[in-house]
Amino acid sequence: MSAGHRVELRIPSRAEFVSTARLVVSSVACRLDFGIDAIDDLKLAVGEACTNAIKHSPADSEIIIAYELHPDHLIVEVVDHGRGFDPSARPSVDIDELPQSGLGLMVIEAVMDEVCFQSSPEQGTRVRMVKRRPTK
Amino acid sequence: METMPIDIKIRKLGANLAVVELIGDCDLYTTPKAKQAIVELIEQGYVFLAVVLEKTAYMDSTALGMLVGSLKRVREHKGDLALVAPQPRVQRLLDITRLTTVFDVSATEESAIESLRQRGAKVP
Repeated sequence: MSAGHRVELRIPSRAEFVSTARLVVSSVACRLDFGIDAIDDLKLAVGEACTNAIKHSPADSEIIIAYELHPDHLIVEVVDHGRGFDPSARPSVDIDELPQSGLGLMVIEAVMDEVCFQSSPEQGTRVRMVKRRPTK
Repeated sequence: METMPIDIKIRKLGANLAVVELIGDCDLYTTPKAKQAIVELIEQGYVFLAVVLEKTAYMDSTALGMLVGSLKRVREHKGDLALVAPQPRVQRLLDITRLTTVFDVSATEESAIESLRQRGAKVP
């Protein structure tokens, strides 16, 4: 696998297309010889990022998912044109309070090696996630 | 559009106890269907629920939020909700979010029903 190959997927901001983004990350991670557990983590993170994007974007807008393939890691960026948020103002999640939202970002940060949010109100959101290939 | 549909199987075992089996993927697209089924059960008085995850191939935070919401609803009616036999990838999700401290997670349907019986479920 040459460094820096990029695959880009554009999906409508609709729930039924999240599985397509998961399928694509599964395919590219398989090509990079990630193991099953790492592929499951990637599917989870991409699914959560797309879910957030769809929840916070207009129904007819477009979500862009870019997969950048490197020999030892995969970078995934999920970009929406939604209402955005202030990443520094994220409320903490208290499980004992039985939260019904806010779990997605917790999951992404737990399963990926690097996560970066770029967002501002009314300017959309870009989530950049890095997963390194596990050593065998 | 290729989306693995969710199949929901419901068994009403007693006056206030039901088993809900979620088969397939439980995500942003399919979770509303599961939520509707569970809400209807609670409205019918089935406030002790065993949710079987043995054949839940994929689950995300939307589904977790739905389960947490369902737990809140049944507790408002003095009921409870137990999770049964989650697959390793779903168990990992529960571990990451620390929801294992919130839900009663049982290895088998029988043990979940016994646990719910001890908390007020009417088992024939």
